[in-house]
Amino acid sequence: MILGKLRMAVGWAVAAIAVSLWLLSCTYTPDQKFVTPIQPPPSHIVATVDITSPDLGDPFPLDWLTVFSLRVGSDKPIRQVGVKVNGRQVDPGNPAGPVFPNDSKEVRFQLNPNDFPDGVHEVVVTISLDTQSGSLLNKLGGEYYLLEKKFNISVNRALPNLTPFTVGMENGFMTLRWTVPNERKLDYEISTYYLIPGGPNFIDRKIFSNESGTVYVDSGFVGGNVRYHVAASNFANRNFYPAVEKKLSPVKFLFQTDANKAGTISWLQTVPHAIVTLVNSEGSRTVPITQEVLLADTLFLGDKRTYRVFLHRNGYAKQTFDTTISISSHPGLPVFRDVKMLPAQSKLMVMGQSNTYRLSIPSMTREDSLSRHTAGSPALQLVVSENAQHGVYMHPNGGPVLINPLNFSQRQSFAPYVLDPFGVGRVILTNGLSSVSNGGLLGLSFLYNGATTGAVADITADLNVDPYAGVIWKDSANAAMPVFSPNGQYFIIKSRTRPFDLVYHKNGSSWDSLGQMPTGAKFFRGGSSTEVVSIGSAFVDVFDVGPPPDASGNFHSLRSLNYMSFFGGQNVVQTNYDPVSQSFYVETRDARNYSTLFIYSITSFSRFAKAKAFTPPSVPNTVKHIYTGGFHFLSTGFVESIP
Amino acid sequence: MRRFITLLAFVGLPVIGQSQDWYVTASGTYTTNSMSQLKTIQESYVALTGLPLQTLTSFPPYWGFGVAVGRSFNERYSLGLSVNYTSTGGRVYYEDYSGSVYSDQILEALSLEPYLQYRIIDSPVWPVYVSLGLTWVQTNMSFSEVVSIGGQSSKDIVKFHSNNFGLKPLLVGQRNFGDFFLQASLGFEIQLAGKLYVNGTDNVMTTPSGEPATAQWTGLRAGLGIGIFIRGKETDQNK
Repeated sequence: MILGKLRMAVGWAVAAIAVSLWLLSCTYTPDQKFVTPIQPPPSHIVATVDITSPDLGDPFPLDWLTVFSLRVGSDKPIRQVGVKVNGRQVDPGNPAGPVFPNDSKEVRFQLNPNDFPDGVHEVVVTISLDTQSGSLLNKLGGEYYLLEKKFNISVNRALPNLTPFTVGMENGFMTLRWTVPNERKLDYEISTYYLIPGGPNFIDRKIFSNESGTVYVDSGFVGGNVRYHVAASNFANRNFYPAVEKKLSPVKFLFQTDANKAGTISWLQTVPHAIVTLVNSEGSRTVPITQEVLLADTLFLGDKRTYRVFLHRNGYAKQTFDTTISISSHPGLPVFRDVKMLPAQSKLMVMGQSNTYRLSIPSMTREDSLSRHTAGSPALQLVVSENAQHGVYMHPNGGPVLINPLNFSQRQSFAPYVLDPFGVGRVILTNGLSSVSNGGLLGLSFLYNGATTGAVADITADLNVDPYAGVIWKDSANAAMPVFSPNGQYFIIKSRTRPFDLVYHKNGSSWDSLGQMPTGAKFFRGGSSTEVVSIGSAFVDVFDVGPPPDASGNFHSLRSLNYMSFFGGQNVVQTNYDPVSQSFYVETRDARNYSTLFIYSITSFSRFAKAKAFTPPSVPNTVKHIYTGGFHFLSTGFVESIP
Repeated sequence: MRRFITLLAFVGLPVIGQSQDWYVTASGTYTTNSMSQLKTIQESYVALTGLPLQTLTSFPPYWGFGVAVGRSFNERYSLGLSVNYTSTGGRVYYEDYSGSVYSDQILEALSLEPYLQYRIIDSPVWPVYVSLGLTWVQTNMSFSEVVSIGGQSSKDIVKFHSNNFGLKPLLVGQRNFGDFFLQASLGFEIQLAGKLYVNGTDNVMTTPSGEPATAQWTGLRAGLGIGIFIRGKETDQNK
C-alpha cells in the first residue's frame, strides 16, 4: 500500500518537476513593437553654397587671419561642417579653426596664414544638411545630404609695391588712391600731417585692417597743405611707402560791397558738409558752408579790415583750414600831399611825394606826370589858378616852381629878387603859398631879413628883364599870406596888429586897403563872385567885398552859421571850403579813427552830403581828408565820388 | 535556480516517503509588484537616448508557479517549505524604415519560503487555512539594448542580481478529494528589497536621483494549486 502511494508521489513529483521545468521556460518575454510609417527622404535635393565674405578672388590672398562666411541655399538645416586645406582637416582644436555654423543657413570659419607655407592651397568645405526625415538613422546622424565648396588661397609673406599714390579732391573729399596687385588684403596705417610753418603738425592716424580697397578718404580735410604717410602690413611684414603731399585752398573768399558800402564775404561751396566761422575784432559767426555768404562790415574809404576764416567739418576740428582775409578799399591815386581840381577842364592835379600828376576825371586816368618836382626835399604846396592857366608848387626854403597845369612840359623856377635892408639884392626863399589868381598874382610868404614875410608876386613878370619885378607887394612885419580872388582884384590878409583880416583892392599897380572883416580862414567863393567865405572856430560867415564896407571900414557877414552847434562833443578836426563845389565841409573823427565829412552848401548852409573814411594815425603824415568837386579824397591815395 | 529546484525535489522525496502526514502542492501563481524605481529608470532611459522610443510594457503583473511540501503536526497546524518562481519585464521600442532600436528589461524572481499554516475552518471537505511565510527572494535581471540600422545590428546586455527578504500572509481555501485536493490562495507579500548589483562587480544600478535601485516585488499574491496527501497513518486532516 505504502509502496503504491510512494510510487504515486514519485510520479507526481516527477510530473511536477517536468511541469516546473516547462514553466521555467515561460519567463516573461516582451514581444511588442512600435513601427513608425515614415517615408525615406528624396535621395537628392537642390542646394547651393555661396561664399559671402570675403570677396573672393581666385586664389584668395590670405594676408591675415581671415574669417570666411558661406551662405547655404537650402531649406534644410546644416548639421555639420568640415574644412580641409590641402587635404588636411581643420578642426576646432586647430589654431586655423574653429569651424562652426553660425546659424542654420550660414557657416563661418577662419584660416590663419601662419599655418601655411607661401604658395597656393586648396580649401575644401564640406557641409552636411539634415534630411529632416525624423528617422532613426537621421536622428543618429547617419542620414544627411553632403555639399562641397572648393576654392584656393594664396599665402605670400612678402609685401607688394603699392605705388603710385595719387591724392586729390573727389566729390569734395580729399581722396588718396593707390594700386595693389592681386587684390592683396593688407592692413594700412595712414598718418596725416599738416605742413605748417614750424614743421609738420600731426593730425590723425587711421588704421584699417584686412582691406582690399585702394582708396582712403580723409573726411576731415577741407584745405591746407597736407602730407600722408602710408604704411602697409600683412601677417608677416610691414612696409613704409613714400609720403604724398597736397596743397589746396578749398574756398576762395570774395569780399564785396553794395552801394551803401555794406560788405559781404561770399564763397562758392567746393567742399561739402563744412562750416565756416568768420572772426573779426568784434566777435565771430559760424554758418554752414552752404550758406555761401556772410554779412561783413561796412567798408569806408581807406578802410582796411582783417578777418580770420575757419573752415572745418563737424568732428574734425584739428583739420581746420585757417586763413586770413584782409580787405581794403582800392587806392586809385598815389599817396599825395595835395590835390587841385580843374573843373572846367575835367582835370585833377595830384601832388604826390615825388611827382605831380594830372588825371582826367571822373575816370581818374593819368594823363601826365611831372617827375623830379622834388629838389632835395618834397614839394609842400600846390596852388592852381581857377582858370587852370597857372600852377605853382614850392619846396621849403626854395623858390616857387611855375608849371602849366595843362602842359607839364612848361615848367620853370620862379626866383625873383628883393633888396634886403642893406640894399643887397637876394633871391627869395619861399616858405608858403596861399593862392594864385587867374592873371598870375601869387600870394606867398618868404624869408626876408630872417623873418617870414607875406607878399604878392607876379609870376608873369619877366625876371630876365628885371629880377626885382617879381615881388610886387610885401609886408615885412606880417607873416600872413595874402589870399587872392580868382580875378586878382582882391586879396585878403590877416592884420599884423589887430584882430581883423584886411581886404585889399587892386588899383592899377598899387593895392588899396578896402576894409576889414573878422578873422578866420579866408576863401574867395570862386568864379566871378566877390563873396568871401570866412571860417572861424565856430562860425562860417560869408562876406561880400564887392560893395564898399561901412563907414568904419567893416564888412558885415551876409550869412552866418554856427556849425559847431551841430557837433557838440565831437572831435572836429577841420573845417574847409571847396571853391569848386562852392561848399564847405566839417571833418569829425571818432576814437576808431573814422573820419566823417559833413558837406554843406555855401549858399543855403544845408548839408547835402556826408562822406566817411578811415584815417589811420600811423601813416607818416597826418592823413588829409578832402572834399572837392564832388570827390572825396584821402591823402593815402583813396578817392571816391560823392553823389 | 533550476538546479536548485531539481535538487530540492529529490531531497524531499525520501521525507515524503517516510511519512504518512505529508502533502505536496503544485500551484500556479499570479503576482503583482510595484517596481516604481525600475519604471523611473525606464522613463529616464527613454529620455536619455533622445530617440522617439515608445514604452510598450512596464513591469506588469505576471504568472508564476510554485511547489510546496508540508507536514501536519496536529489537527490545526502544519509547517511547510515552498519554492516559487515568477517574472516580469519592460520594453521600450522604436522602428522605422531605417532600422530599429529597443531595450528589454527582464526580471526573474525565485523565492524560498518556510511557512506555518493554521486551519481555521475544520471541515473534512472544505477546510480553510491561514498561513504566514518568511521569504528569501533572489532576483536576476537582464538589461539589453539592441540597435539595428542598415542591416547591421548590435546588442548590449548588462545583468544584475539582488536578494530580498519578505513576509507573506495567505488565506488558503481547499477542497479535498480523498488523497488529492485543490487549493486556492490569496495574500500579500511585503519585501525588504536589496540593491541590484551588476553581476561580478560591486557596482549597483541607480535611479536618476542617484539612489540604489531595487527589484520591488512587493504586491498581491494569488494562486491555484493541486496537491496530494502522503499519509503514514490516519490523521484528523482527512477524517
